[in-house]
Amino acid sequence: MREILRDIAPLLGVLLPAIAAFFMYRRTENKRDAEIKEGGKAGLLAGAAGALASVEGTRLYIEEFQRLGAAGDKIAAGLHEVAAAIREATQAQNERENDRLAKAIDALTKQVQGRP
Amino acid sequence: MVFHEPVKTHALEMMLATLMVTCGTILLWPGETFLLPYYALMKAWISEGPGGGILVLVGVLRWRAIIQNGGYRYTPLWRIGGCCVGGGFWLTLAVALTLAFAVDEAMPGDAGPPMLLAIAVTAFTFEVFAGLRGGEDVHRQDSLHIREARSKVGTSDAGNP
Repeated sequence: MREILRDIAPLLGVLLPAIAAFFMYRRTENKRDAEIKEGGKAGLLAGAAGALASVEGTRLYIEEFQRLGAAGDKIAAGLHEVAAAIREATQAQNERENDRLAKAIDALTKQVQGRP
Repeated sequence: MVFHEPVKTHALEMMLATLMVTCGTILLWPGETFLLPYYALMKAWISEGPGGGILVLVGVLRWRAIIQNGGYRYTPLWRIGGCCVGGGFWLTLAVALTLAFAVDEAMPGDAGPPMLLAIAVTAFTFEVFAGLRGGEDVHRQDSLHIREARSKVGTSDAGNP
């Protein structure tokens, strides 16, 4: 036992700090890998949350656009009705004007025919 | 030379490096330190002149590595080397003193174990702790170029030059 201790003591003394250093190196490496994995997961979650937010935002845009489209349709229908009313009014006025002109022409014609 | 908060982070290693230098100086001092009977095992392993010289040299290099740590990526490896030399010295001394006291009964008269045994065991324990710290720094400073090599592989896989 004494001989064994005497022989291995320096070697053991040299090896133990080296083993400790290697152990700590591996531990730090594993810790860093775990942190990178955690970071990756957190990044994925953030990406998913961002995607969900994008989907929700896109849905809101579409709804707003549809609302605007419906409002535009209503405005167009209203304009169409206004245009029809204007057309009818113009037609009626034209007809009245034509009648008035025709009557005036008839009166003038009769007046001219009645002269000697 | 870049200073990397050596006082805050490496006080333990500074103490151990100083201890190596002082022990080496004592061994280099004229006269035989290993003349006492409980140093018989130490005498079998190292002679005073070269052993003292190695201790002083390694202690000084350790000091330099500690001060320069963070500015040069290989300094943690130097520090681990210092831990190994110091660990070998202190454990050999502890075993030598223990065997002399407990097995060989080489202590004079009814003398108990020498105080130096406590110092040797403590110093060896803290050399192991310093080795742990050195291993962590090897990884952080990428002294072995492993992360650098991995990142190069990753870059070439990605198709970027």
